[in-house]
Amino acid sequence: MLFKLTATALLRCYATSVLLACCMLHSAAANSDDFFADIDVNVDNLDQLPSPNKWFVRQLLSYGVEAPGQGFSRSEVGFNKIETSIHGEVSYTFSERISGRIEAEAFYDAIYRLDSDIQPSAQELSEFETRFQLRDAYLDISLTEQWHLRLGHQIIAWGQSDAVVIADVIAPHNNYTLLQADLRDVRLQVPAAHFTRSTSDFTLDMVLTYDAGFNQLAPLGNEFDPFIALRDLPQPLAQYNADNKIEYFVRLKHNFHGGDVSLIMAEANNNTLTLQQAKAEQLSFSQDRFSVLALTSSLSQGLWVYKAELGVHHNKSLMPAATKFNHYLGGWPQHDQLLSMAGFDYVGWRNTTLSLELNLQHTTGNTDALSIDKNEYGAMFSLLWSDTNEKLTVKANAISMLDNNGRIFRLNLEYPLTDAFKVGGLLVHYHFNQSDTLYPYRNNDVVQIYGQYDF
Amino acid sequence: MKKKNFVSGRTLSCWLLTPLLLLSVLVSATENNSLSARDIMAQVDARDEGENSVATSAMILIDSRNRQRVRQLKQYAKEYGDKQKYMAHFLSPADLKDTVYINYDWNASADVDDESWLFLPALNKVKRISSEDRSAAFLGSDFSYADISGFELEWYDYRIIKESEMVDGHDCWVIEYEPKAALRDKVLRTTGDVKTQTWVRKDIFFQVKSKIWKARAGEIKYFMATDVEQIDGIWTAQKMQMITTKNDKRQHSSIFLIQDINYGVGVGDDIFLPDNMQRAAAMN
Repeated sequence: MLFKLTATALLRCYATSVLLACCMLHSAAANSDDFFADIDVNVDNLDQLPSPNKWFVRQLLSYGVEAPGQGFSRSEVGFNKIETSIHGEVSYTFSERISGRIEAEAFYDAIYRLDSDIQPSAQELSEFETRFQLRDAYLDISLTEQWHLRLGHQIIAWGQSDAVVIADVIAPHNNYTLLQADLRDVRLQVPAAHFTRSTSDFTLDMVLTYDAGFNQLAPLGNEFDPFIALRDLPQPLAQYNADNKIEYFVRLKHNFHGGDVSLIMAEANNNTLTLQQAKAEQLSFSQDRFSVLALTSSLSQGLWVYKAELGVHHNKSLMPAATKFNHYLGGWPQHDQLLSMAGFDYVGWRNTTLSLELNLQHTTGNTDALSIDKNEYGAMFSLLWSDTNEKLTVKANAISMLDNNGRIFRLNLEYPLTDAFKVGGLLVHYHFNQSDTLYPYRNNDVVQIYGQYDF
Repeated sequence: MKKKNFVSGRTLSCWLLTPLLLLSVLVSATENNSLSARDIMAQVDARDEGENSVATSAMILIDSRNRQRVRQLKQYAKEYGDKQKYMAHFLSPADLKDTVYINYDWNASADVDDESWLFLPALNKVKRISSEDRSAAFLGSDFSYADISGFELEWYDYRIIKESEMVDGHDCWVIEYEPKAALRDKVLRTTGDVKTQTWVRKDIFFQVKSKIWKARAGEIKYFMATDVEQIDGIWTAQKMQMITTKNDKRQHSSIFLIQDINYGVGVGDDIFLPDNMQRAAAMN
């Protein structure tokens, strides 16, 4: 009897357990426990470390949505760039103390052969059809535990501002276009000896450059030819490097909890060309010499990073107003300028980094003869969105430029189809009024698409 | 004779050792059973993670269509008493190569924000970034910075919801924790986590599974740590996965694989200096 009862109880218990287990399994399968299942990794060559070298090819198609206007090589709406480029970087470690790196790019633009609507100048053809750009070629040498030297061609970026050159006076910029270049191509290398001494609280940088050159300017007739307003003059225009080829830069940076502050001093050549002399046979543009004293700072608090930059550019040549151009044929007038930036990055909204910077430029002395006002205001708003484990990246910028230069809007989307292949699109819209210095370039809006394959 | 002795010796040992072993297990079990949820999580928090480490890892991102992308990185970590310093250098894919991320994770007792920097090779510039947004994706993955840097012990109330549950043959506590009422807004703002259930191995105080309810409606993340082994004396999960779900449907997931890790190898201080990031990228 006891056995029978026990057996019945056991049977019931077993049946109940089986039912319960089935229910639980079903419930588990339908709900959360599935998500604790081990995921298989299906990736080749995971055990191999990637090569320290990197190569990629990039194909860019650029379409000018308006005709740039008189004086430019392109007279119609249509493609303005069909550019293929190859990029290579090679790193090598010689010893524990010495390593080296070379990085360069080569470009070929087929537009001049494929589009008969574009009548390129000889200068444009020679500069843009095939182009080679050295980015880096340097040795990194650890002199002691704390002193390091980077010797050779290198890109150096200082300062906090992304819109205005205040402390970032070392690297010349690629001004072939306005905000169309890939971010990595904006700054150019300089031949330099860069000494660094770092501790946890302080970093001292000393940079000495030789024949660093000036901002890259678009050639005659190109859509961003900076001298387009002067092309009707009878004299040819000539560009010269600075007479004094040596430039000095020092930065002392102090890191404290949550922030940093840097003091920057420089005796440098202005990377923006200015008129040095106007003669009957030629207009000569070159770099003037100026000195820079700047303070930069960043401070992180909660979801915000605050940024500020303040600088004085002493004895800087500035462009006169068009009506006064003839008064300064022996060289443009020199003034001191106070430049400042205040801004922030905010990361508390939907996987988006929102950035804003406000700029103020104050020019000392009598500015009546200049092309700029005594006080100029500018601003830049940026948005960077990339959702968790999503491939699409969206970058948007709206810039109100200093120096009566109007506004620019930029939208860039990127999507990697695989780890090695990404596609992207870029839209740039220029909004320049007649009073803006950049008015001649108002019709240069572009839509670009590109693909990049890494190998 | 030898055999007998051996057997005798073995039997003797068994007789002597078994009660001792049982006793120690009982003592340990009694000790463990007397632990509160907070005590357990304090032990988890205090678990030895090594003074410093160098690891080569892979992060595999799996999107909603099961396409897998790989990011390989070299990581350095060092303990400084009041903070832990961490540096990640991307080795691949080419698009991210030489991107460097540094984080100073200050102990809660320091009562200061963590600090982070990013070196973007395309800009050749070191940028200070906010590290307060711990809910943000770590390296674009399903792991948030909060998941990686660990929980802040003092921010939560803990309770044991199950004394014993087996995970991969290991007895675990199931513990639930939620932000303390007074800190709820701060915790939600910084981590985005509303509630967490975690499975803690009793033998080594190691979190092997977690279910994390996010502030975003319907979003739950599932964490699992496997291949847990002792490396250089430190318990290490060599595979960690995180699955993000929405309304009980998988959105995407990420797997963090440690391919090679060495503890106590002597990591220099220089590597964690933000101003050395560009050089560190070139040297690695």
